[in-house]
Amino acid sequence: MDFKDYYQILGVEPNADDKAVKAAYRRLARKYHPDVSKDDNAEARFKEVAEAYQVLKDSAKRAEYDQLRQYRASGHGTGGGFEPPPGWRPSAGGDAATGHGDFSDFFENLFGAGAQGFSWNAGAAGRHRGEDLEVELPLFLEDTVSDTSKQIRFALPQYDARGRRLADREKTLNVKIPAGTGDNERIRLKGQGAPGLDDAPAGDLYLRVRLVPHPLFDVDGHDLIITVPVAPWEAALGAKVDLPTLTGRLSLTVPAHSQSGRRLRLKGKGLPTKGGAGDLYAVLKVVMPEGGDESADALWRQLAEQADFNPRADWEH
Amino acid sequence: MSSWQNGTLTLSELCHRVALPRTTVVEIVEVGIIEPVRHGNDWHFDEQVVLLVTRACRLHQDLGIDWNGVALALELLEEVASLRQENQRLRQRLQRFS
Repeated sequence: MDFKDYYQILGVEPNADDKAVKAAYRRLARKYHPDVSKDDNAEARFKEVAEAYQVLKDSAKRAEYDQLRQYRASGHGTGGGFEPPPGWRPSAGGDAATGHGDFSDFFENLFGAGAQGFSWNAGAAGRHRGEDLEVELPLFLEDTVSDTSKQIRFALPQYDARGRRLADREKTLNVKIPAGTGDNERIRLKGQGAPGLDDAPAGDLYLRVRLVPHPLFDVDGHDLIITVPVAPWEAALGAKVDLPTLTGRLSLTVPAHSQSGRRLRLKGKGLPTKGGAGDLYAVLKVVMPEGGDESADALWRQLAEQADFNPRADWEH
Repeated sequence: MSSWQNGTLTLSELCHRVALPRTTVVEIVEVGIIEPVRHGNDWHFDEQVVLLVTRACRLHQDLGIDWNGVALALELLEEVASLRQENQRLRQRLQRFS
């Protein structure tokens, strides 16, 4: 097994006092707590930090750990894996401390599996119902239009008969997503969470819906926004534009003399909701043609000579 | 195929589910982390609060903050998440216009 340098993990000196150890732990815990950090490595980092603190905050465990650290410093196990001295028996373990359950082999071998509680949910006596889990469910906007079936895959925690956490198992489920499911909504799947102990019921699985960014549509609550590129003459003279929506194409009338940025509302063509639907906003964006066309330039020049228009009139006072 | 289900829990059922004493759950309600759906004199809770209470407990225990602090942290985390999402969306809209 690999030796863990708990002092290095917490970023403290080996002679740091309890206060310094606690402060270092609190600082790192705030930074890497999986409920706080969005960092991909946050959970792994937090476990490491929690494990280090579990040992260093307890004077008996810390003393034992320091002994092992000394033993290693004197040349044992610095090359490959680390083995404790022959006849090593942990004495400080056994105090069902609070922990997150899956500490390293190093910790388990040195302080015994009994030294850790195995999870918050099952920490108290007489309660062995499985933990509730929350998993993110990415959903395309198109998926919200009608009932769809989605396959989800997630890591399901596993425990042995004594309640110790084993490696997660990958689980696949087919889930029916009703039309009108919205962003951040939670879907509860009863009994699909972590298994219970001693025949107790499993926890629940919550799917947290996250709408995936769309190449054409932006989301604002239940409304959708689509940017519609138009030629300058379309903005000036008006036009009919073939407009994509979530459910098919329709014809959008661009009124004459439209400014760039004008919002045209298409009622009920936004995201479906349980009771109805939001609106679709078509936002006009006037786009200039690429240059290089001499006859087009001649026409622009003609317009420039004849038009009485100062777009910067506001700057004149 | 799994289906949808939503239920409510009584105060004792909630205490049992989250393995917390009644006084702690009452405190969590009092600082506004969860809100009961009142039913006469009895408190009832949406089952979804279990997840929220579990999260609150982890923050309380792992970061050593009191329940008031946990309530604040949860509120701020929620706000940061929604601001991040809004920021990402506005950026995307801005990009379409440039």
